[in-house]
Amino acid sequence: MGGDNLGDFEQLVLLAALRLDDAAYTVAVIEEIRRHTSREPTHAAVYVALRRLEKKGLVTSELGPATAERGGRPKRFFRVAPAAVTLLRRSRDELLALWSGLEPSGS
Amino acid sequence: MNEAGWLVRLLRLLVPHEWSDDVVSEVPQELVRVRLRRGRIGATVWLIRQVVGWTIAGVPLRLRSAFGRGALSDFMRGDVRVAVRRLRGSPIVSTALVATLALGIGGMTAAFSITDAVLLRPLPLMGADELFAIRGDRQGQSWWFVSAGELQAWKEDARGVSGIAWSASGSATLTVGGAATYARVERVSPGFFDVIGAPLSLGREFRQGEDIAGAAPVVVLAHHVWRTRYDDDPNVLGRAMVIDGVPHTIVGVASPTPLDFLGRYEVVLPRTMPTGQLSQRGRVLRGYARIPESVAPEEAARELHRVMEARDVPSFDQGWVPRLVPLKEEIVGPSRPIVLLVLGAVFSVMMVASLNVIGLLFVQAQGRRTEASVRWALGARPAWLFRQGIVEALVLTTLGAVVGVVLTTWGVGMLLSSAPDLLPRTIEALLHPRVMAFSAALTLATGVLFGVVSGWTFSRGRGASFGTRAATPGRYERRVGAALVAAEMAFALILLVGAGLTVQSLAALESAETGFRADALVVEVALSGSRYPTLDDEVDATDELRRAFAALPGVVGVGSVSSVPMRRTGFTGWHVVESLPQPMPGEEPTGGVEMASPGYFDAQGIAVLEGRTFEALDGDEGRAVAVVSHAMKQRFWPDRSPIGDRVRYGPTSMGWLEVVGVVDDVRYEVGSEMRPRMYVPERRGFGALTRRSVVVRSSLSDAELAPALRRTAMETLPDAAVVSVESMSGIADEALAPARLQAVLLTLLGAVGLGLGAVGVYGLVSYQVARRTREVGLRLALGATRLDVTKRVVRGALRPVLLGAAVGAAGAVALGGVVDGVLYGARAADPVVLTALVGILVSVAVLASLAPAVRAARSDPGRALAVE
Repeated sequence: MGGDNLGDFEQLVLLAALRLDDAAYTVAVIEEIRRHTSREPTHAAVYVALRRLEKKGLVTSELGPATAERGGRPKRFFRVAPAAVTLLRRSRDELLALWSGLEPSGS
Repeated sequence: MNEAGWLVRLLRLLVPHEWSDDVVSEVPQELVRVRLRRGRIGATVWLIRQVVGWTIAGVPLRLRSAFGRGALSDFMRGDVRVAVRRLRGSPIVSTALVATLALGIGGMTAAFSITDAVLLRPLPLMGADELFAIRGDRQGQSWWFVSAGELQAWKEDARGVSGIAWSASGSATLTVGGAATYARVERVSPGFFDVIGAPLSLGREFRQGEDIAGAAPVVVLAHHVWRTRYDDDPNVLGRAMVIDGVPHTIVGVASPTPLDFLGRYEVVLPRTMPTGQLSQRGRVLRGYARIPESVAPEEAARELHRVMEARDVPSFDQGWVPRLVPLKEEIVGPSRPIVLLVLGAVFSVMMVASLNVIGLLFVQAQGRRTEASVRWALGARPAWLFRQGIVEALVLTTLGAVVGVVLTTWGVGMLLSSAPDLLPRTIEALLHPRVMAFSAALTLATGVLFGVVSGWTFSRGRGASFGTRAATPGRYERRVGAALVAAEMAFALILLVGAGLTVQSLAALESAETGFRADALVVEVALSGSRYPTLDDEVDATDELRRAFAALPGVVGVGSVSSVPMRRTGFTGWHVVESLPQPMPGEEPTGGVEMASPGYFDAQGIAVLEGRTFEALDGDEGRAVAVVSHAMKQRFWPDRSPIGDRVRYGPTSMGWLEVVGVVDDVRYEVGSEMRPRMYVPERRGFGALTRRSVVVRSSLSDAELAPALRRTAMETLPDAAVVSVESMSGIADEALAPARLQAVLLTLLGAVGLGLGAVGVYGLVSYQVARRTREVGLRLALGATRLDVTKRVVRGALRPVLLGAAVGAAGAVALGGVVDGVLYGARAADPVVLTALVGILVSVAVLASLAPAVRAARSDPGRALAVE
């Protein structure tokens, strides 16, 4: 997996996936990002990022059951690996360390 | 189902194999959900985003997996080198190609970036999809205004709605260093910023209870006020600001995100909720609802209606039905037609430019058939020659795109800085990633298209034609040439007609009768609610101001009115006539209602058609009178005089007013019909308006009079703020500015399209005719007369031109139908204009074919035969 830092977008995707726990498929991740930020990434951007993270060992994935809807196909569900959580924590600590002293506290 | 089918196929084409099952399992299903949520247009936009996203992300990966990582680049590098060498070999043609492409791609990128910023990008609010404007519909009318009573009821009772908020734009006077200044104010509900999803930068927003009369006064600053007046001071919270003479505590600073649906506010105050039955009824508030994704907007609207009925919310009129419109739609909806019109025009220019490029490449490739034959003979495969053509076209297009995008970045920046108010949403950066992606995709698509044409033509020049030399054009060549000429004609014509229609519309707008004299000056004053709480206070102040103005030297007429023409839409009320059958409650007809003073009609230059206008004591007890407009007379008394009849603009309790005069119609909104309007004396008005306009006519110039008026206003009413001093002609000009810019823009595009189209048609037609020189020689040698031959050649050349003209004319008529509702006064494709435009383009083609045809026919048949 290497010790490389996470990109801004990768962090968004990982955090959204974490919030979704075991229900994190691409569309749900987009929805989660959209709900909490003002951005709505495309399906391609999120899916490619998830697969790239999977290659780095930061995410695992498996196919879910086929849905009952007409033409429903199995979706791919992603799960955040513990290594990613460590990296996320580190990014957050670094950012907070750099921010401290730049903002009035309590606002 | 059908749609899902093609979408699945498209995705399978774009997405790498190992991923395509995953993608296909999600995207089509999500499309169904998005359509339910955002409507057809929203879903189309969403779909385009996804497809573009997958094109950019997926195609390079697919190519790499198909050709191997290194193979593809090696394979192309040689071609690129050859292509660059070739392009440098014919610098003039290459420059022309790059310039044309730059024009097309640059223009298209600019148009797309405007479309993107105005129509496509989501509102800068959290969860903007969940936000809806609450409109009220009644008898075919629809307003984005609801009453305080309704909002209160919804906030308390409506189920399945996660938030209700409201706002009202207004004004107030700020006292800074002892002087009153005018400030734009937004009055909002407690929790407003939370509901609309725009968290404050600093501090807190209004709490429940701060909207009740008598609560401790608090204020939230606009971000720019905090920056400029308080130097970004984070300790501003808790300080006092004097608004309408009352110190208010600063509790928060709004976020820097522009909220275009609010007025350009400087401060935000809590909207005090009225407690009286009457004041709860006025439909004066903008309502917002936040609805969770799981609830359909129609369902939520029904719930709001149910609450209204259940609570029997007081309202002036019965029969209002709430309707929820996505907030974004409410805000950007009105500018959609203009943006799409410009986008369409730019697209046509792009098409004409592309056709020119294809034409040039086609001609060039024809000329290089000998070279192709040699390479073929030396063992080149058609596929290689084809690829060579594609690479060359891609190199050209990329060059053109780079030049175009750079030039456009400047151009759009200039355009927007010269007309900042034209479009409702701020365009932050032209080089937004999405816009970049769009131009990249556009470049690629154009390049491949050009490449296919030139590569195909180039690779056809195999051994067969080697030795025979390219002589008389073959069937393939003739057909492609004819198709190009026809298409170019069609696009140029549609573009010209579009430009013609906009100019026609502008002319109609500018010449439309306004009904008022343009030489008056208008002084608008803000009379704060705390200093002038009642209608009488306000009218007394306005009277005083009028007297002061009338005493100024040179002034010949003074009058005041609730709203001046061409600036705002004006006020609305009932139009009920006593002598006609009384309407059922809830079905009262409505129209414009303005409060005017004695002398107003004279100062504004509105003609009196019948009877008299207001006099000094009108409006007092026993002198309840009204003046009606010509359109109102036509509506209710088409064949008799209204004088002596009685009218009312509200419930019977507000009293009947006797009609004493009829005045000419006055235009309030650009490009709309003359609305029936009733004028009532100021003391018979709705209530305090907080703003009044005084119209002054004089023998002085505006430059002399304006400062005197401003000074007099400040001396006469020291605690009122002067909002503006403007001439009526300036106000009318301002109202016409968007239409004018639109016409200039489209005329410019039309001219570019005409220029490109004429050059393209000329080039192709003359080239094709020149290629027939040999055939002409042969015919002459066989005994045909010169005239016959010339006629025959010109006729052949004109056939595609006329075909294109016919298609273009049909398109133009269709376009006329589309713009009919958008462009005021533009008639669907004026036949005279259309004929003239067709004439211009056809004469270009005749000229283009005549010269080479005559030349060929004049020459000696033997020489003609020898010409290659």
